[in-house]
Amino acid sequence: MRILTTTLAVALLTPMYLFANTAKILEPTKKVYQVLEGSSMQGIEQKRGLAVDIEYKSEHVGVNQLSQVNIVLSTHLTKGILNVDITSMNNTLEGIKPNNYKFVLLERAEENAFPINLEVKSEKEGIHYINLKVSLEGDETRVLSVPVNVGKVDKVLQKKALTSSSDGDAMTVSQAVEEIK
Amino acid sequence: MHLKNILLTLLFLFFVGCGEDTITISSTVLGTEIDLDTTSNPDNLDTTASSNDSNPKTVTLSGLITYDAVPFVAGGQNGLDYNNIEQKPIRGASIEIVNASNQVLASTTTDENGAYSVSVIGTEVKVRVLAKLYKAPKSGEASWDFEVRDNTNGNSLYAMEGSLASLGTGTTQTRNLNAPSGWSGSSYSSERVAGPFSILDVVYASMQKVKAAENDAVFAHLDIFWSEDNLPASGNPNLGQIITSHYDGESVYILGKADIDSDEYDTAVVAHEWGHYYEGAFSRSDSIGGVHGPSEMLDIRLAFGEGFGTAFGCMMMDTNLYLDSMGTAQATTAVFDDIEIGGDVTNPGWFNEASIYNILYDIYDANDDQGDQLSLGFTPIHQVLTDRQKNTAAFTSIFSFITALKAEFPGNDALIDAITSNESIAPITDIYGTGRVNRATQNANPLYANLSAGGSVDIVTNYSAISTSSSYTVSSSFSSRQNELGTYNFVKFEIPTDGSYTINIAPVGGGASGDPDFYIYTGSSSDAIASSSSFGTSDSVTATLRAGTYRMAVIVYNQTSNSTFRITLN
Repeated sequence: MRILTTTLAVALLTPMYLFANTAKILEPTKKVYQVLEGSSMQGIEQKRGLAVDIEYKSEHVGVNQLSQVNIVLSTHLTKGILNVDITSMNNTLEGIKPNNYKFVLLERAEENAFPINLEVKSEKEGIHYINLKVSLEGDETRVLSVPVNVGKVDKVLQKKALTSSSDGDAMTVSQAVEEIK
Repeated sequence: MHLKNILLTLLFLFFVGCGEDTITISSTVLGTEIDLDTTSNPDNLDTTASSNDSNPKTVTLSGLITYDAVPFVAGGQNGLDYNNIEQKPIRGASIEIVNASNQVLASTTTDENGAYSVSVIGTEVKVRVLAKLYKAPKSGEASWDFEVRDNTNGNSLYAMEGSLASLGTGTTQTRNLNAPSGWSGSSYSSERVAGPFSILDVVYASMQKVKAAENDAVFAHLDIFWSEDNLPASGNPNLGQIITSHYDGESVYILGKADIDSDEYDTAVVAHEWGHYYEGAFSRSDSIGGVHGPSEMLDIRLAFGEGFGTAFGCMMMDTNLYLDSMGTAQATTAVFDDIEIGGDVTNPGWFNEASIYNILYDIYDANDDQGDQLSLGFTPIHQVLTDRQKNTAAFTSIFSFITALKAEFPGNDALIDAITSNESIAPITDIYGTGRVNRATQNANPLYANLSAGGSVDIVTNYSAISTSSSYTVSSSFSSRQNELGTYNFVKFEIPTDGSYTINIAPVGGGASGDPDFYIYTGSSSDAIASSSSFGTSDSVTATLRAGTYRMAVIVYNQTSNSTFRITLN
């Protein structure tokens, strides 16, 4: 009787065990359309500000999928503490918690490269931005932005219709406040 | 017969009641002419010229064109002050009078007070103001062509206009137009029409100062791009991703993203960027650009270029305060600098842009202070920049500028030396900064190494390790490293006779590392006439060179140790 009971239990439980360990819970597969890369390091004559460079990589993913964003701030300033506040422009990205990064600047300038890794997502398609406000006490401030593309992204911004000038030039014309006497 | 006349009269009165104020009608009834005149208008119909009036007339149309200018809060420390918006004239801007078919019936330009007056033949017209300063080229006269455009909307030209309205019944009419800021108490809630015109006015003011120094100055065409969507990200400028406000050698780009960083009302910032255009158009800039700040030791070309930009911006705006707003409601002053106060710079010297803008502003301004007893104004600075600085044999720097200033205006050496001394710079005696070295640490080289035809010169590199961090390796070609003092080494040489010459650079000793590149320049151009930038531990170029003076910039990438490289000229 005992043998029969044991055999019956094994016979019933084994398939259940096998099923539980072989069944796959299907998770949505993250699709990375592209990895955006960018930096501020270009030979253009820029306005002055806190001398901090940025390099970044951000994954172009689908709606509600996590984008890995890797940022490196670098500077050859060698004294003080670099403060970095990170926010989502217009709060369209999730995953950025209240923060205040602090990086101690070292005397060897080549060692002052600071990585910041984030995971963000958005429920809306389009171009989103992570903003970094970088400041150094007693020095200047710089704001840097990192784009994160989600889903379908337009190649141009939606802007007002253009007017053609007398010589065929395109104009964007706005309404003035007018007084006629 | 009597009945017929009554019927005709009744018929006449019927038609009168249909709307004519005054009517003359001739009717022949049995040979009798009836002329009737009535001024009654029992139905109060509008009898003025209607929009369908096909009789155009000549009217003198005039008025004032203004824009909302947003100043900084008094003192400059707390960002922009939207509670004290002031309407300022839009000066020198192109005006078009257009009809319903968008045809231009007349055009003119606002004067220095923003006033315009133009004769128009038309019926219904509107006044259109272009964000454009334009004067056609004419021999012996100044000319210019500046336009503010939207880089996020097809690079279209900004404009504003009034309503399509009747020219009225008189021979004159006044139409005043104002470009609104779009601000509504706590944020922007409507179109920021004033933004482009604020930028345009900075250009107008700057142009007047240059014209005062050279009254027949010919200004090369310049587009200044601005958009409400321009933000500090790199990428596609059509999407507003412009990195920051900058000049790229052809155009100026200005930030416009509200609550992040917008510069249209930061007039010294706009004038600073226009100053880079001015330097390229009228003088010469060898600056290599990149990120920079006022406490760094920079490549001397960049230090002068950026120092000049800040000083020039303040000179043009008649202020000693360089201010840059940003943040929510633009209420933060991210950069506050009183460039009249010298001697307070971190790391002062000929490599520091802050030292340079302090020096230039002291040379310019009328205020004598802290060792500054010189007040030359802008015209002498313009003279030096457009002649000796433009043609200097050395790379453009504070050395070439001060040497040129002393040569152009002899007798001021002691006063100039006192100003440079205030920034810890010993008296400048030549364009090469002779006696200085290019690093504060080990392996310093003379600022310019001397190379002779048939000879050689050695330069020593200063190896800087590249940091790595977890899985992300920092790029090995940071411009922040490229544009600091000592990254580039400079060489000068003379070519005795026209001919073919070979310049070669190769490592000395077996342990040398790195990939050297070099660029050769001469005369008043900032474009290299020869270069060698191939991969490898040595580089060489053979070029036909004319007799004269040359300058060379050498950079070594991918070093793994301090190394010595030998440059030969044969």
